[in-house]
Amino acid sequence: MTKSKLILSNGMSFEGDSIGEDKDISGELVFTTGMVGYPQSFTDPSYHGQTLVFSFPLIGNYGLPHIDLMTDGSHLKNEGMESFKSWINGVVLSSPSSNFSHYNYKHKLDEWLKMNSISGICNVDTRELIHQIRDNSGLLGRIVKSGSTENSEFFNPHNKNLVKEVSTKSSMSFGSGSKKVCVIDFGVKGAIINKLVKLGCTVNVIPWNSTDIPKADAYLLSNGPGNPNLANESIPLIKNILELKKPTLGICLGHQLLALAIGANVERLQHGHRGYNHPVIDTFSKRGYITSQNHGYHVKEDTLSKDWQVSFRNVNDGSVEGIKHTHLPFEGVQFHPEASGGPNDCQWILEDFVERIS
Amino acid sequence: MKEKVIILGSGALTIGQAGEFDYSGSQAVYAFIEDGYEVIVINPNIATVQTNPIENLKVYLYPVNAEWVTKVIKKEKPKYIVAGFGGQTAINCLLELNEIGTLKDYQVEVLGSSIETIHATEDRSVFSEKMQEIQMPIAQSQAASTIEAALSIASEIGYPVIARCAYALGGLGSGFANNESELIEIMKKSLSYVPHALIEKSLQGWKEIEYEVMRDLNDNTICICNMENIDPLGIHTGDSIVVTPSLTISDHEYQLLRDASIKIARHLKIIGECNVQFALSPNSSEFYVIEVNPRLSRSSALASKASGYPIASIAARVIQGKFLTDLRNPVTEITSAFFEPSLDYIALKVPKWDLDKFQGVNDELSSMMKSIGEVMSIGRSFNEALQKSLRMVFSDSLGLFKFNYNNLTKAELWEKATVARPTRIFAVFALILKGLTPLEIAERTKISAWFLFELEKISSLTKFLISEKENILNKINNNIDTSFNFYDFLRSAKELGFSDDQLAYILSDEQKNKELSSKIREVRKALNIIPLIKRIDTSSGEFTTNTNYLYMTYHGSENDIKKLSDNDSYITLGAGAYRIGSSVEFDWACCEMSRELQKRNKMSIIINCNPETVSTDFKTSDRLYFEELTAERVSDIYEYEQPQGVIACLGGQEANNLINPLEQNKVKVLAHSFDILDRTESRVKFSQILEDSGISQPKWASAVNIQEALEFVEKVGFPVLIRPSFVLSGSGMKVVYNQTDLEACLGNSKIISEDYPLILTQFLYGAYEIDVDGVSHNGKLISSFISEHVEKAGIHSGDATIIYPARELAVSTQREIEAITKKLVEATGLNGPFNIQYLVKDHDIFVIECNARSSRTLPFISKVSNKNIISMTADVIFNSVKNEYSTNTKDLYGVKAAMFSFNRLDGIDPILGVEMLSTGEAGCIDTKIENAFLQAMISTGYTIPSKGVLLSTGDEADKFKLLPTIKTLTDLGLNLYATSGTYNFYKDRDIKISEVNFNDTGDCEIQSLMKNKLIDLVVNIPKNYSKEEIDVNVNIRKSTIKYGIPLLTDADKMLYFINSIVNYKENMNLKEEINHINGFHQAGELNE
Repeated sequence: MTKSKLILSNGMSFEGDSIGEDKDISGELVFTTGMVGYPQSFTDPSYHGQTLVFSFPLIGNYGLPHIDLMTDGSHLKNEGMESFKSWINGVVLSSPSSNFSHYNYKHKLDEWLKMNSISGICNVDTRELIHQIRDNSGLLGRIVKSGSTENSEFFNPHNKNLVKEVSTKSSMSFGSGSKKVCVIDFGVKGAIINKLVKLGCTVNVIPWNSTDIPKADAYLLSNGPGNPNLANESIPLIKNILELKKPTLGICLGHQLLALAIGANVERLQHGHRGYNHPVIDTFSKRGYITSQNHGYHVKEDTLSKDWQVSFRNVNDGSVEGIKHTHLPFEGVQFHPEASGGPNDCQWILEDFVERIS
Repeated sequence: MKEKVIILGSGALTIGQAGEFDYSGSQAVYAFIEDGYEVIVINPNIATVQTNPIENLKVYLYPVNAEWVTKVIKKEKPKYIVAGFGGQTAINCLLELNEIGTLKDYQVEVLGSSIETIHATEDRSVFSEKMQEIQMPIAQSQAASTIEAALSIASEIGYPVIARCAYALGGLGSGFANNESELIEIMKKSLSYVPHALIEKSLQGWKEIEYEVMRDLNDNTICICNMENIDPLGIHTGDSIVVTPSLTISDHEYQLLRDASIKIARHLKIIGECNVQFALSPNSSEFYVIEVNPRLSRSSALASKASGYPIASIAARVIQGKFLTDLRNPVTEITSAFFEPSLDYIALKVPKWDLDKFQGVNDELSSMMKSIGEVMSIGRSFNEALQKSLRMVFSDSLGLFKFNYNNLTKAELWEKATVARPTRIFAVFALILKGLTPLEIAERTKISAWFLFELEKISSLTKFLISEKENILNKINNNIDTSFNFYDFLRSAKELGFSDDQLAYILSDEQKNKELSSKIREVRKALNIIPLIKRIDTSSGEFTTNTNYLYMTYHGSENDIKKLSDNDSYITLGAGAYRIGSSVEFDWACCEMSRELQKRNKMSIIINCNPETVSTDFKTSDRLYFEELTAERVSDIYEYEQPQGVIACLGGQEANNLINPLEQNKVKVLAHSFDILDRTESRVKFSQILEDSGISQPKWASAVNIQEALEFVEKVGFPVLIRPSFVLSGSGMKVVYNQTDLEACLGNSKIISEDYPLILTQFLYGAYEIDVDGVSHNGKLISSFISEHVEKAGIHSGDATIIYPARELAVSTQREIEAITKKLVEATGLNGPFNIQYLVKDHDIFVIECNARSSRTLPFISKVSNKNIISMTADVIFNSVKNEYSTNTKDLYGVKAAMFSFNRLDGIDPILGVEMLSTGEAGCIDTKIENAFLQAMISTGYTIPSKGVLLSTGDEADKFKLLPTIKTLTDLGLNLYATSGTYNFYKDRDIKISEVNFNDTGDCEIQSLMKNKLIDLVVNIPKNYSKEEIDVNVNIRKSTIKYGIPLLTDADKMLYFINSIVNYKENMNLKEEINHINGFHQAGELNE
């Protein structure tokens, strides 16, 4: 294996071996503590522009799915594919598997990374690296492979509108159910579409910056990558949707944009929540749920207007995990009720959302 | 007033129910005490931490059954009862208490899962109904009495199917069918044996996956972790190698089974903890629910240690009615207990079998658990963890290279790889070394190919080592550079989990090449290839924690911790896997030492690798290294922590064996040094010391050929005890009674040779056996405690019934033994805890053994005498020995009886002898010996007979000795049965007795009496232990296991037992006089 180096924006560096595509990359370093679900993380558009560090040391054991490099939605039938391609720009691993065994998966890790042009570094002390990411908010990293110059710039995805890059360019339609749901695509995960279709919906996915609003029974503001404040071009669209007073659900970035649209503020977290074990509590029933999370920003509670309530709260740090309008059918959740990867405990939020369609 | 809660313990350790319940049980006790309850523990397992009488805890050393627990309830009138922390024993007891009305009569409320919930998991038909209500698939069997019926069932459930013949011995007529024609063939056969066969979906080769679930009264439900059995379905999970978290299933399957676990826990209304087991298809996401355990289990103890989440402690709070969302995660202290741990390592459990110790037992693994202990290893790669675990489980630094299968043929290896036995993994590895591909092996063993791909990496490196042997040795010995990158090679070897000893072995072909091994260590350290220390923090580093729960890995570049700063730390070595002869009693000693260190304001560091223990609860010490007990790893930790020293004398023989190699690595060992140890362990040196001190010992000789052996026997006469020095499993000791048996033994060439001499010792037939436990300081005796065995010499001390204080031994003899002990301690220079075994025959006192370490009897003696021997040991270590330690004991007797697991060991002869067979023990106390004795007997599975006794009472002397007792049996209204010899003897002495016959076919009188439960005690005392005599009654003894009838094979134990039954019957109507440990001690003090 060829040697590689991971250089951090705080001056530290880690030695390792090369895996995946042989190219230098730079991005924001984020980590996930999920122990399964790496194909989902690789293909989740929310990770666009990020270099993903896995805390679990063994990645690739059960292989990776077949890829349909088509933007028409055909990837949705491949388990593990949250979109038609991989979005992370780099990956940092401890002990990747060179072989796999699983009836449903087709590719070895290294092969798959190369097919997707993802550069990676392995045999890194990822636990130590995660300590660095945890303690240095917004840490950037650069994977440097042999022969490269070592003083190029760090790429900071927070200065860039990433939504523009991941969102669909034209409308698409899925399913044939009687209930019509319009999904505003800020980087939507396949699981959201799949689950709505399963719940009996026809799903119309439209670009993030659409100017007209298609007629629908309900609207879903999807997840997506990056800084919500840079995607403010879509705020008027969201405001118009709210005017319709139809059931509206925001998920993750969609929840943050919903908050911006209603005049609240969104701020960066010290370090993001990324993993499958994040506890939230339903502030009404006091019931707890284990959720799948992947976000670096949160809604500031004290900037919410009085028509809005905090519906979910993070059990550990108390941050806002969900907001709900007091009398209109509007709701936002910071976590991922569609899971994939992670626990399905909050799937009922999608079910309730669909049920609200009269 | 504090509210009172009873927590039921699990009793004596058996196969399937071992130390894990001391871990979960003691966590439960601490949680309830911390939360302001007064706790009452009922558990006769005196060697546990749970039965340490601490503040706000009353410990009742009584049998965990409805009768005795009712007595405690009557006396203590608790508000609550908790059964979820005492294994199946406690659950069964709770159901019984409910049935007989105790719970209702005394208004005791059950905390945790309700009786109804427990019923739903125990009763297969209720369970099946409950699962159907929530569309959870379970593998059901349906009976077919015709071929047509079988075919129709099979087409409904889908092939492959298994046809089982109910009640057919050894699976006669059962078989797998992949299609209709195969099923027709099997059914033809089956129906010729039995009227109907059970048709069931075959799940052979499916993955076995478990989830640990916790649920509170607010319906908050979490899965602490999941576990994947590496051995596919069909082998009991307790006998499987298990990895946490699962490694070969995708997120889809992980969540599918997690969702199912939660749905099941909710539907069954589990409160607290439960374990759900699944069978998962390797070819689809089809699954079946196997079973649910509505309580803490072996798996939950493993899950706690593997994930860091203290399941029992949190469960104890949840069952009080607290919500998970209101509790803190005690590991991070800053986050909620309502979360699911994320692991950034893997944990591997490997079972410890000790089947070589049990003669005649089939070692094939199946759905009946046979292992008696386990280890857990932690690593950041599968191979690192696997190699560690195999070193742990065999207490040997060679691990995966312990068994050399190079000379076996492929066919032989395939047999060993496909028929699961304790050494299967070695055969699988040998096949890979022979060049078979992981996919071929996966196909035939049904082990997931991923694990085999990993093993292939170890195989590749092994081959590289062999092919580059000369270059590598040249580099190590002469620092001549290799053509390849030596640093990278050595680093990857360590990342793959190789120990220095393993590398030295492969390079030199010499099993224990200490010289080369230490050179490798030096070279490695010079290259800075040293293991890193990482924390187990439940959050994969997401949150800053200060946890003291640690492991080591070569996959890393930084330590998580800094060395304890004040230089005042001490390392205590644990005992490793539980096995025959080394169990919870050694863990108790380690935990006590940790407490003693903390009491003295020292930092306590524990190294141990057994997930069932309290010593590996991170709350027990200031730093817990969940690591290998090998000299290499202990030295790594020692060099990093730079403690004041290592305490090795409390972890049993395993820890003691490390003293020599540790001292060679310049580790300071506290208490006994290797010098002292050697004086007691080297037969020649010890014998010389005894001789020089004028202390008697049985005559012995070391023979290198048959001639020498015969000469010795000629001189001392029969019987003799023989002990081969070539021993694979530590067994092979035997008492030989006659020439025929001796010749048969010597005929085995392995038993005697120039390299492996045979040790022969004069056997003092009929001698009393005495144990002395004590502590010595630099050769000066500071305390000693004398206990006696009920059985005469010939029964291993671990299997014998022990009474403390000695009561039949004359006071003058006791004084003499004390004097000899003093002399021996001085002559050997003992410096710490010790145990000396004596034989007393006709007023002569002989020393047979001296163990320079903590002993099996130590917690028993400490608790009965109320004098903590570990505290005295700490005084020795810290040179703070007091002038005098009182050892006088109150008017109180303790009886320790052995617990056997014969019903798990198909084919064993349940007769006791010089080799230890017991898996656990119970210790009970009372002011009256008969009471303590009876409680200990009942705690170890005996019942008071009410119907009939089958007698075979040994030789003439025993028969005469037992005559009055036999008379008593008839007075008790019991029917007596015997075969001709015993029958004639007692008939002639006017005892009412019936003659019965026996043969092996099952339709003899004895078998039918047993079957019809007309015999509820079997006394079968051999005349002597010659092979001929033992063979006579072996099948009668085996029948007792089959029918679950208590068996006594010793005359003295029988005498005591019957006397205590008489005492019990006479005093039955008197006021109950049960008491807890401290109650007895306080009463004793008042009487003084």
